[in-house]
Amino acid sequence: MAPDTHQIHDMSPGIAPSGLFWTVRIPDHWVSVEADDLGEGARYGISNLHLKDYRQLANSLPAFLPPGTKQTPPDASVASFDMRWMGNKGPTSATDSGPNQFTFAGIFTHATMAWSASVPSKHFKFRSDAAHTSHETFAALVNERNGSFFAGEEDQQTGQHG
Amino acid sequence: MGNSMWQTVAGHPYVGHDHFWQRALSRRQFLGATAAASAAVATSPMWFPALADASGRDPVPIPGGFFPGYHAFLGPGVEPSTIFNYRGTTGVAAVQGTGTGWNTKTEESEPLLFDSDNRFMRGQYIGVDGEEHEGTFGFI
Repeated sequence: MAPDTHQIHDMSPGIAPSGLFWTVRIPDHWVSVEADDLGEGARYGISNLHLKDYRQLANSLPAFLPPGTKQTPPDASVASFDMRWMGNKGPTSATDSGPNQFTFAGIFTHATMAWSASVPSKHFKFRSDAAHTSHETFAALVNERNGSFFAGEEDQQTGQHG
Repeated sequence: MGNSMWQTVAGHPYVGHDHFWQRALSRRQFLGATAAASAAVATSPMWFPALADASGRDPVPIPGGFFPGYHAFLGPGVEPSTIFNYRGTTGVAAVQGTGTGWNTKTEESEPLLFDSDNRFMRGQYIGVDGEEHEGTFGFI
């Protein structure tokens, strides 16, 4: 982003009391992907998901607020989006067999997104331009294992055929 | 702490969960620009995410992170998911683009830039109840 820009909204589900970070359960049908054929791409759409607008990234991460600074309460917001992964830009994989224990294999892809959002209390609405005008700075589809699923299994499929 | 902070740390190498993040934590960020016009209203039923599942089927977060309790990494070679004891298919995409924001009270509008990082995770996981479950999750 250009250096003279500034952030005015920052939407996320928040951090759960358990520590689950910006992650929520969603209906299965909101995601379409074939684990054994990642080259076919994927689609991920959410519809009117209630989120929180923290206004700025730093305000959504309480641990990074300067000492003595309190988190500004977020505003209720609603967002919908339609994301697509497509193409195969090459393989990607990584394994950390140390204390972190994760492994994944898959492909780098292209990705696009069209979305809309509103913050009713601020009389704010947003709608993105058409998806084809967006561009990824990073996108990948992978099959992954971590934690208790890391060890003792056969090598995972890369999902690159097809 | 603005965007420059995230850019400063962007080049730090990532070696496991206990180190600082590898690159900017890209979030959906609207960034002000100049003026334009557009309008639309979305009308459909609302869907509420469940941040806490009383049944214990919630996944557990991955230990460690770029700060204790903040596990989210973005980029090649780093773990893309945010749930632990997980086996599944993960999609991660940081996408930038343009759009229009407007004030529904004044009808004033302006072109905006956005910067997003959204992911999905679908598969099996061990919940906080210690049992194996299947589910789909969104990182938003």
